[in-house]
Amino acid sequence: MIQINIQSKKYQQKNIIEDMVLSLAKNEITAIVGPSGAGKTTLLNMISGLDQHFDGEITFGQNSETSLNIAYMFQEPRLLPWLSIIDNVTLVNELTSENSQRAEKLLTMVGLQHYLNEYPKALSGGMQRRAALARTFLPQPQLVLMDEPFISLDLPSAEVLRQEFLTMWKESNSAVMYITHDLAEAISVADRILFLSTSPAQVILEVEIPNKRPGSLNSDCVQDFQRSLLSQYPSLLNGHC
Amino acid sequence: MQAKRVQLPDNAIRALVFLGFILIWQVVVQVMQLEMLPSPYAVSVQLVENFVSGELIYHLSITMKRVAISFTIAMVLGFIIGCLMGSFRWIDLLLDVLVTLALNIPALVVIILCYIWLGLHDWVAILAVILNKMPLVIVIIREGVKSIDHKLLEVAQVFKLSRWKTFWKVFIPQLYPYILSCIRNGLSLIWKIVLVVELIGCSDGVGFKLGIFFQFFDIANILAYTFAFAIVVLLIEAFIVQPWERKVTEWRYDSN
Repeated sequence: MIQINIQSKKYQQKNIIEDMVLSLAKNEITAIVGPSGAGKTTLLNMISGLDQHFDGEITFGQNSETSLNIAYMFQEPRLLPWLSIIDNVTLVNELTSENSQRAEKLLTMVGLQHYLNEYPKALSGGMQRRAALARTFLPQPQLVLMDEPFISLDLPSAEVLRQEFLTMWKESNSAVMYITHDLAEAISVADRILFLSTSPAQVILEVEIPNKRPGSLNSDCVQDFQRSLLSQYPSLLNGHC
Repeated sequence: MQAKRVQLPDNAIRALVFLGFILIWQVVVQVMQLEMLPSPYAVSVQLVENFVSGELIYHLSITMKRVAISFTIAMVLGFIIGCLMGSFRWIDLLLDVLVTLALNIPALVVIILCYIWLGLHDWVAILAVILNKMPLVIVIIREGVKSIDHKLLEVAQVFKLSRWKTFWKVFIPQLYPYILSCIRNGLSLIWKIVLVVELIGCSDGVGFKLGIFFQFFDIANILAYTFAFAIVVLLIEAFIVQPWERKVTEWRYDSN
């Protein structure tokens, strides 16, 4: 279990996150939905260790000293342009033949088996995200942070990538924190959704998804659940419960 | 019908330009009968004679040794100081004025002062060259470090890459264009400074020999030594710098 307890996070002397208590369980996808500027990316940066200037603590397991194997899939692929696709993926792990084989397997899962030795420049935006997805899961992370990972992709590509992500996640048993501003996307991938308020960000609602991962964003199940949530809380996506 | 274009390889074009230059030179000398400009043939005769006697190799190797030592030290120290200045604002603030000052002091002044203060020693000659070259490396590397893409460093941080791996795989490749620029500038600048240093205060090296030829107005020998040195620099560029540049910038060009 991963416990996140943030008392306050300030930006330019203003609280942008306040009294946020979250717990993430292994083998579970927790989606975080909130309006733009609510501090979703800041939250991931704090959990990942990129941002350490906040009051509070993030504990992994029972011991606060325990360090966790974390992987982060950013909004942009962030591949190193001077490394080939296979080198970009294997970069995050020790270079062993076992890891190389696993990297090739992951890249094959996302359909990049013919692009292993290409540079990122030769790949489309969608293909680069696939490589970034393979990189995310190579180190067999205990916690995966995903910051709107399929944003700005066309709908069919995003759908394919979501399915590839779910396939990898099922094999990994990791806890996932999945940030999105798209409620339908959150319903289609997550076990539960945490809704954030506008600044200072706080969790205003926690919802358990009844039918887990029912399929595409347009499936009746996803649309019905989205409608029922929004009819119950019309201003939910604006950060009000 | 469209005429078929003949495409020459880049190196063939370069060689043709060089041959053209030699040809024009020869023609100018023959037509104008210039006393102060020996023909390419006369220069090449001197070049061969100096080479056969072993004198050219001796002085050239001494100069090359000075170039190699001062270039290496200036690059390494300049790189470290440039990285520190680019990474830490307070170091940049502390050293900025000194670096700007050093950058703008004429090379000749540095050389003369070094000789006056420290004496006419070989290591002083090398020190003078380093002091002239290093500020340029510092400034170029500092700007390179300031333009580093921190988003890529965040990837290394999140995935807990070792410092070694982060440095060599994420940090340094972003500085390759700047390092290449330093190498190019370094090669062209250092050998010019070394010759001046040798001319003023050394008893061997190409610069020293040029000083003697100058006293005798021996233009053919001046040009012979100059060409010999230029050829060595061109060979370094062609066989070391360019292949390395191609290797580290390969990713910039399309695979096809």
